[in-house]
Formats: sequence, C-alpha cells, structure tokens
Amino acid sequence: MSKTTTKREKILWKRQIPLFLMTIPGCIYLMINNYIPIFGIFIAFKNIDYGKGIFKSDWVGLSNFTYLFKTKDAFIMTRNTVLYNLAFIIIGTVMGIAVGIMLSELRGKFKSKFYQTMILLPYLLSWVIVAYIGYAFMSNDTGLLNNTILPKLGLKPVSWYAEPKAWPFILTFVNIWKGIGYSSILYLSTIIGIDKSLYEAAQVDGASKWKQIRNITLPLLKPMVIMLVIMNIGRIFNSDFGLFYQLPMNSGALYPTTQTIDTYVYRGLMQLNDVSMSAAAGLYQSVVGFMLVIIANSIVRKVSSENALF
Amino acid sequence: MKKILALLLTLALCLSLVACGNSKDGAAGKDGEASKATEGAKNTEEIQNIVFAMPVTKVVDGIKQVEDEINKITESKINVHVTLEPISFADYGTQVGLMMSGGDQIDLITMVGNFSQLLAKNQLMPMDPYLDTLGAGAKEVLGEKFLKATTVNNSVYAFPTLNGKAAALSIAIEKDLLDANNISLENLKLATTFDEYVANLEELTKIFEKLKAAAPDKVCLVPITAGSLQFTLTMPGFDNLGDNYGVLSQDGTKVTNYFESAEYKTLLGYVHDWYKKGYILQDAATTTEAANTYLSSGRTVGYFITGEEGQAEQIQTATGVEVEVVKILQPTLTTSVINGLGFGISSTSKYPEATMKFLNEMYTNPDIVNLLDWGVEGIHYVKNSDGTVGFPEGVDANNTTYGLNQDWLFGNQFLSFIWGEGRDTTIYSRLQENNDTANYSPVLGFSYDSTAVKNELSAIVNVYNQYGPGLDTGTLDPETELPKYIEALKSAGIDAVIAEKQKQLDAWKEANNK
Repeated sequence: MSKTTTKREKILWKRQIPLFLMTIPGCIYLMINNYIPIFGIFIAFKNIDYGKGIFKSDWVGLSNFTYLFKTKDAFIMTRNTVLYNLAFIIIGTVMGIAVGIMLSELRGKFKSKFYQTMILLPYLLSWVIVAYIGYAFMSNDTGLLNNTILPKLGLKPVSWYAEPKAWPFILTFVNIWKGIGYSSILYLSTIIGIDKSLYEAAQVDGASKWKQIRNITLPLLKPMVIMLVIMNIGRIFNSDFGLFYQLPMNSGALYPTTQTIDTYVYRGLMQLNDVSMSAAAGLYQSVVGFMLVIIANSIVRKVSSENALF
Repeated sequence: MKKILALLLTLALCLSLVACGNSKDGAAGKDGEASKATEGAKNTEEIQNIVFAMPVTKVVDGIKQVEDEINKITESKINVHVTLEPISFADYGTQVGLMMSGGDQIDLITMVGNFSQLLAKNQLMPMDPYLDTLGAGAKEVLGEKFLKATTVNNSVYAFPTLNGKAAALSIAIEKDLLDANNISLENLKLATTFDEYVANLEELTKIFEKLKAAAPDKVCLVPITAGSLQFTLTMPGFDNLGDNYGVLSQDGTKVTNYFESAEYKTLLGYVHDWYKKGYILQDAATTTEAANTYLSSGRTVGYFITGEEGQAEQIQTATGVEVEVVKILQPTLTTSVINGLGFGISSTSKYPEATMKFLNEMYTNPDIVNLLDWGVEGIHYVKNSDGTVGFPEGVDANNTTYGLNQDWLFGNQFLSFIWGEGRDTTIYSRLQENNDTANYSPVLGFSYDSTAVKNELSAIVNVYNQYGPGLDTGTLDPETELPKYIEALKSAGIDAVIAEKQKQLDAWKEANNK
C-alpha cells in the first residue's frame, strides 16, 4: 500500500519537474532584482560620503525620512496615493471581472481573439506614448477636445492642464482603460478553467445567464479576486509614476490632484540628487505596503480562511 | 510541498551565490587587468592609467579612435594613459556616484552644474598640492577670478571650463518678418539697471504688438527651457546664489526672497500681459518641445535665449531660419555661472598627479582640446583654408563617428578650432574680452552647501514646480497666484533656507575679509 503511494508521488513529482524548470527564470529574476538589493536598505540610514565610501559613511538615524513628513504636502500626496489606489482597485476589479465575463461569453474564435487583443493593446503602450495621446486630445493649442469636440457641443474650451478638478476622472479613466485588458484576461483565464458541467447542470435546472454568473462564476472567481486585491493593497503606497507624472505633462497647476508620493520624491530630489533620501522614501513605501498586506491577509483569514494567501 | 519549497530555496540560494561569485570574479578580473596594466607600465616608463568619466550628448563609435590619438600624445609627453568613459549627460551624476561607491576606477570627473553637491558628498579632491606645479599652466590661463568660483575654504577643488561665460539674455526674432514690416530692434539696449531692463520690456511689448498684427497665426515667444521664458528669473546685477531660493540683494550684503520682491512682481506683470494678448504660446507652461522646433516649423517668430556672440548663426544652422538677435541684459558672472561646467579630481582617485597632468593639457594643449572637441583630424574633421574646420569629404553630421560638438565643455575652448567654413574666427578673442570686462558678482566664490536644509529644499522644489512654470510663462495671473506662491514657499521653509544661506554667506565673507 505504502509502496504504491510513494510510487504515485514519484510519478507526480516527475510530472512536475518541467513546471519547476519553468519557474527558474522567474526565480532568478526575483533573486537578482528583488532580494539581493534588499541588502541596500542601510543606505536609507546613512549620509553618503563618497570619499569614505558607502559602508563607512556616517549613520544618521531617521533624518533621511523627515522630508517626507515635514511638508504640508505630506497629507495631500499620501491622500492622493491611497485614494487613487483604492479607486483603481475597486473600479479596476469590478470592470476587470465584468469584461472578463463578457469576453468569456463571446462565441466565435475570431471575435473573442479580436476583442481580447484590442482590449489588451493599451496595456502594452508606454506611458510616454499614452501621455502624448492624451495631449493630442487635451492640448490648448491643437487639442481635439478644445478645437473640435467642445465647440461643436457649444461648450467653452477648457484648459485641461490647468484644471485640477478634472484630473481625478481623467486619471481613473486612463488607468482603467490602460489596465483593463490585463486584468480582464487574468479573470478570463480563471473563468475558462471553471468546470463546464456546472453550467450545464444549471442550464438543465433552468438558471438564467445572470443566475449562472452570480451563483457559479462569481463564487469561483473569489480566490483569484482576493489574491489580486491583497497584492494590490501591498502597493497602495506606491503609485504608477508614468500615470501621475507623464500623463499630466508634469503640469504644476495640477499638483493638488496629481501629486503622489512617487512624483513628490522624484521632483524634490531631482535637484538634490540624494541617494539616501530616495532610498528612505522607497523603504517607507515598502514597509507600509508590507504591513498592509499582512493586515489584509489576516482579515481575509478571519473571514474566509481558505482564501487567505498565507 | 515542503520538499519542493526546500528545493526551490536551495536552488535560489545556489543561483544567488553563482551570481555573487560571478560579479566578484568580474571585479577581480578587472582589478587584475588594471594592476597588470599599471605593473606593465611601471616596468617601462611608469605610465599611469587614469579614467575620465566624460559626459556626452550622444553615444558615438569614434571614442576609441580619439582615445588612442590622445594617448599617443599623453603617453610620450606626460606618461599618462587616459581611458575615456563616455556617460550620457542625463545619467551623469548618478553614474559617477555609482562608479565611486562601487569601487570602479574614476579619476577625472566633470561638473554638470553640481559643484556644491559634489563637494557636499565629498566627491572632489582638493587640487592645491599640484596647482602651482603640475597644474600651473591651467592655473595661469584660467586666471584668479575664474578659480575663485571653485575655491572653498581656500582650497581649489576644480577647474571651470574656459569659454565665453558672459552669456547675456537676448531676444531672437525672425529677420524676414522684421524687415518686411519695418520693425527695428535698435531701441533695445544692453540693460545695466532695472529701469533700463523694464524699458526694454516696454519696447518689446510694442514690437510684439506689431509682430502679432503682421503674423496673427504665430506666437512671439516660446519657452527655451521647460517652464520658463528666462526673463522673469533674472535682472541686472542678479546673483541667484546657486538656486533661486534666496538671492543676493543688490548691495551684495543680504540674502533675500526674490519671489517677494517688487521686481519679480513687475516682471510677472509683463509676462502675464503678453500671455493674455496671445504673444506667448498657450501651452508654454507644459510644453517640452524645443524652441527651435517651434521656430523652424513656423509656429513662433522668436524666443528669449541666454547666450554669447554668434547666437544668430547657431540658430540659423539649427533651424534654417534667419534671425536677428539682440542682447538686452548685461550679464552678471556669478559663482554658479562660472562653475556650472568644469573638471575635478575624484576623491577616490589613486593617481591625482597623473589626473592633474592631463587636466593641465586640456587647458594648454590645442591638440588635446581639438581631439576631444572634434575628433581625429582627417577622419572626423579637416582644416579649411580660412582657419576653420569642417567635415572631410563624404562625411556629414549623419554618418560621422564622433560629432559630439562639445567644444563648449572640454577644458579651454579658446584653443579649439571654429567649426564651419566662413565662420568668424576672431570670435574667441571677443568672448575672452567679454569675460574680462564682464560684471562680476560681489560675492564671486561663494558656493552654498544645501545639506543642512535639504528637507526644506525638497519641499520648496515641489512648490516651485507647482507655481513657477505657470507664473514664469504668464499662464497664471500673478495678482491672485503670486501671493499663494509666496505663502506656499514660506510654509515649505524658504525662510530657513534663506537664513542658512545668509549664515554661510556671512561666514564666507569673514573668512575672505570682505
């Protein structure tokens, strides 16, 4: 008896070898890019003196962190970062699931491939290109909105790059537009993996499409949704630099609604060129993100323990 | 599951070890080579190898050829072998920091507007021990005034680039349009007082009005640096003491807040008036396109530019548009104007003597200067009959393997050839004369170290980014926005920065008996 189980285990193990081999490049990448640099954390606590070398530079405690909190903008940038990320997580998840389900309902190979590609395309564009597409719409002198669309509708032109109130909507819209292809495909792949017999059984019982979605698709998507949300929460203190810096064309008038921790640090240190202060900002974001992941995960574990990440 | 995890972890560990091992090997290999090279040199003529971290505007293939030619000269003349390490301007400061902290050899570093930061981070070595011996030639051509700008606590830390420093705020306007409409620029004068400066702006208002009437689909001004038309952030006798956060008062004693001054308000009044009248590009605050692009594509008739003689020729070469350029403001040579570009010895250098010898060549030896500026004669350039240089047969700007055109950077520009047949070859003597007769700041030599107030500065720079470009391009109304700007600067701590600058200025004055 025991012999057969070990044999079966061996076979299973053998089958998995190719899968493990496939993870190797990813692991190497993680090691080099994410683990080895951790050792540089100490730079955040030093005042770098190149004459003495990085290791022998003086320790300065937490003084490299103070600039993040001393300013009046600290509240604005933290608020913007967190609120935008929350909005992106909620709207992005809902839209991602909705589009994922819609894609899964498409019949016809050409149609579903066509829509998937079209929706994914913006995700592959660089932010700089997206920023100039935005500029083509919103520029004062030559923009499509001010020169063609708004006059036709009988509206006055808007100076988009000087109008902070419009940007929470623009940023959210562009971020969802750009990211939806990727997240919807993640959900789509989970939906495709759902056992078809469940739907057949439901159809036999006379369940409508809507009921099938609510009672089969959504509950089975839950683990995926929870995982993605927890991972996003871990990055709630980080913002997409391209979105917040490139898209508003670095326009100062928009800071009240576009300044985030990353853009503040970038702008503030462009002139000072201080390695330690940027390391401090990165460490601060990571530590807060790490704590949030732990908290979110422990909440999930309390509510539905089988869906917790760890 | 645990087994698998364990396996993965071991694998990861092994890999990281391999990675580390490799990098160590790599470093050792390099060191080995370097030491071999130096050992080899010791056996023959004691040729020392130095590394010159050379900022470049683009990647070029001809660097190696130039390096070989330079070494033919330096190895026999001063026993120095130079390795040119090209680094793009955009990454220069970061790359140099990384090289120094990573233990790579780096001996000669360039200042790219960051003298006080290099100094604060202890990246420069004092030059005094070699200044009167190995660097005597360079010291002499630079002269006392220029070296003051790189002197801190009575030690010289770098050599500023020697070129035409007396760059004056000028207005460039399309010539055809001026001629066709009989508009003359002759009433614009080189302003030496604020009243004259304002008179120039009044005159410009009239000129722009005529230009706008003559070419209604064009604007008159576009920003030449992102977010600024330049003329609001300068005036006669202006010393911004490194950055604009705390500037020198006109009598040269106090550090004051320029943004609160009546002068700044007056200048903002002009720029906003021009913006409202449509003389300035609507997107001026956010555009990142080059002013020359606007000029050559016919979207503007001109712009403000800060430069020396020969601007009109340069603009015409770059855009194909013939322009008239008039200097409208007497420049003030300040510490940061002079030490903006220059060269220093890395504090990690093991061969400061060799580096100094090479630096000396960069200021005294025309062969070295021209190699760095234009490349190898016969391959990258040839001499023209009128004393200028140009491309050889079959070579042009698109296929040259050097073509850096950085004659404004490498050492002593006055030793370099002038590029372009038919160009005025006497220009350098005029530039030199302008340098000598220019107006120098009363606190020339004072460089300020911002380390003590870096928390405040990071906040202030953000405030500047929020309001500065809008105000300086006229997009924002100074009546309502300037008070907010001043308020935001104060809450970001500009007063602390000004106090710190004042403290350092007082200490500097006392040390220099002023």
